[in-house]
Amino acid sequence: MSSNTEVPEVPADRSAEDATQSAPPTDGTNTPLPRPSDSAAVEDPPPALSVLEENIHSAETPGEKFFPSFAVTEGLEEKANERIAQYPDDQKRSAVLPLLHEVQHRFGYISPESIDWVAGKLDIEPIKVVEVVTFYPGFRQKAPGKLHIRVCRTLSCAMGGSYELMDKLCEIAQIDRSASDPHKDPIAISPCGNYSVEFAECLASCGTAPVCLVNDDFHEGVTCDKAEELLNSYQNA
Amino acid sequence: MSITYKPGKKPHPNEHRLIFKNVDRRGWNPSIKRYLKEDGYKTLKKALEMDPKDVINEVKTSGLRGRGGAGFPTGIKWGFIPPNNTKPVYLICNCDESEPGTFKDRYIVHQDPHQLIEGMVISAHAVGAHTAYIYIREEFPEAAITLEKAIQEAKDNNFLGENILGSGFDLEIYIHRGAAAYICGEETGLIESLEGKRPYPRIKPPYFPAAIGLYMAPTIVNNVESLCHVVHIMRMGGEEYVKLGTPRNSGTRILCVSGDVKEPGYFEVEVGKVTFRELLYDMCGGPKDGREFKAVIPGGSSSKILRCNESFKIGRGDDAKDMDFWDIPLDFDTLAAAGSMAGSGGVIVMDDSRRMSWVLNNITHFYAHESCGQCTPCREGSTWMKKVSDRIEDGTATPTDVDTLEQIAYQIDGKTVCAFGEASAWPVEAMIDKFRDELVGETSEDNNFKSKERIEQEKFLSSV
Ligand SMILES: Cc1cc2nc3c(=O)[nH]c(=O)nc-3n(C[C@H](O)[C@H](O)[C@H](O)COP(=O)(O)O)c2cc1C
Ligand code: SF4
Ligand code: FES
Repeated sequence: MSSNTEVPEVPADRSAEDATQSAPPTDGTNTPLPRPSDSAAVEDPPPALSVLEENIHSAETPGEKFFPSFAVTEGLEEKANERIAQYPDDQKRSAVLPLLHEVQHRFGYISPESIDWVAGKLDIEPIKVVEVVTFYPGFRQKAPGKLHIRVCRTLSCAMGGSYELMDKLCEIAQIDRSASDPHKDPIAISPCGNYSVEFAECLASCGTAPVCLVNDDFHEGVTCDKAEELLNSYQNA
Repeated sequence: MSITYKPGKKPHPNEHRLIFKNVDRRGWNPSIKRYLKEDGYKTLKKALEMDPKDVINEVKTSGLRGRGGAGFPTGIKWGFIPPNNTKPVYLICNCDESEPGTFKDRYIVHQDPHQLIEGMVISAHAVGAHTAYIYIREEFPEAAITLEKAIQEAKDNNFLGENILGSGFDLEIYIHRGAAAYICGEETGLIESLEGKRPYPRIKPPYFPAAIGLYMAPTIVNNVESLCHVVHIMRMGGEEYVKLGTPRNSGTRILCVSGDVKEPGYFEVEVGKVTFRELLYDMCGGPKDGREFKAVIPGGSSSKILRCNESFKIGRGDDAKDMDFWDIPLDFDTLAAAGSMAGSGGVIVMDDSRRMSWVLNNITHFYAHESCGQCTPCREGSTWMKKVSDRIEDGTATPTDVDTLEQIAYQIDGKTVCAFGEASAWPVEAMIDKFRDELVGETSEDNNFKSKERIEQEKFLSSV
């Protein structure tokens, strides 16, 4: 039917807006055209950051104080070399994910410096690391809270009350999720930096819904009345 | 020796435990010491003494069909490696377990890692692989550690590494962690991810992994549960194994039940020996008090939803018979005949308290989030489906929105690089097919929804 393109809303700049998983804008062609309601747009100064810089930039967050700044330690080098050795000599690039995991585990998130380091370790262009970091929801580019909580939002958990759990966690930890976006910016952090939350997709434990991950610890059957208890159990951590 | 289970974890009498024999078992732990106490790695020894061709034939005889979703016969897949191949062969264990509703591989890799490793060594021997990877989803951090420890233990005991048990066969297994992307479960997306790239699935043909897979070399990708079945097939012999289950649907499989039942959980049953009635009433305790069952998604969120008050024509021509939903056995062929699929074994149950628009909306959000963005129908379509279902759910849609949604789904299905297209479109098609009246009932002719973009656009159009 001919009206098909009209009924589902198709924003002109949707490919840039919603398909961040597929491709970050690569040049200036996605800049919105000046609109009648928006006369100020014409005078906007050019953005201070290049597109590439914007894609690797790490925004400052209150969680930062809990993580060391990126530095190449002996332990990191050793672990990285171990990981690289898992793949054929001419396929070092395969170690991108494992190296990024090592970095995120130690430093909390993937900073621009760490991208350069991973690229150098694997003899690939930094952009090949950037494209991986920006695709996978499992990599973050800004510091989360000291406790990062991932609540499953998929069907069985939603039926079991995971949205209510999320609301409760936000209430207790004073987190404002209103600006969160599942694609661009899924993580919301408490002002004190102690907590951050994010919705995850099915964590493969639907039979014990609702479930969540707190850092690397898995918790099941966490209905919203257990939210407080869950956070308290980390009080001394 | 009698086996006992942790409180509340006792298998239901309808179950037949092979793979899950040790899950939630009293006195069990993931160490190799414990595994060896009950003939662990004995089957490996036997298999290594056999010619690889004979191992493949044994698996063919068993009739094993893949447990990852597509149900493809495992032995036949193994036979697809080109006979004149000169490249290294790779074996990959798919432990991405991310199909909503599925939670079986989780228990194997957390609690019984050596069963998987034994299955992998036998399978690698069969297909001639000397390097194998376990691609494990990032959200199983503990299992990644458990598996790495188990691999080390297996190496220390010469079940892995060089010249395994004196057979001359070498194998290394490595763990590769994903990063929370559903599409890495699709085998060619998984391979791209393992190569260190974005997990954009490859087009088939020509990229059938068994011919052109990891590093452009022949690669066998199998699900965790499938690889574990190999141990039992080799232990029992294909002839014995095929007696389990029903014809063309042999063996056992793990059904994962979640949602609106009294007792959700996992159940390992002989394939096709359990009907929906037995599963949901006898094994899961029936609906919650005061509720009635309304609909069931039988094989992970990508499979088509079934209404509990439906009946189906099963079989062809004169053999066709009417079958009530409750009498459907959960096997590959009958569920396919009922218009859905057995998929990954994830059974999601909804009772009469659920609004289908809400269920649909939850599912469309999942697929909109997880599309890899490589092909236009899927990338755009999954987001459109999300937006239209948002409107239906919050009551701002018009009746024609339901038709629009249906048309979007049919424009994705069959027009994409990978089966994610179907996975995202089928649930929507089925939901509208089965619950059109309910969905339309939540819309109104009086609604006049305009998107932000539409409002902006109208400012440029003098005629509106
Ligand atoms: C979108 C999509 C997601 C998939 N996710 C998984 C998964 O999480 N785990 C899995 O084992 N197979 C998954 N599969 C199926 C795999 O592509 C592949 O068929 C399977 O791993 C083969 O193993 P099997 O023959 O042992 O079943 C998925 C397929 C598609 C199209
Ligand atoms: S169908 Fe979807 S997930 Fe599959 S390749 Fe195309 S865009 Fe990616
Ligand atoms: S839906 Fe939450 S674990 Fe599957």
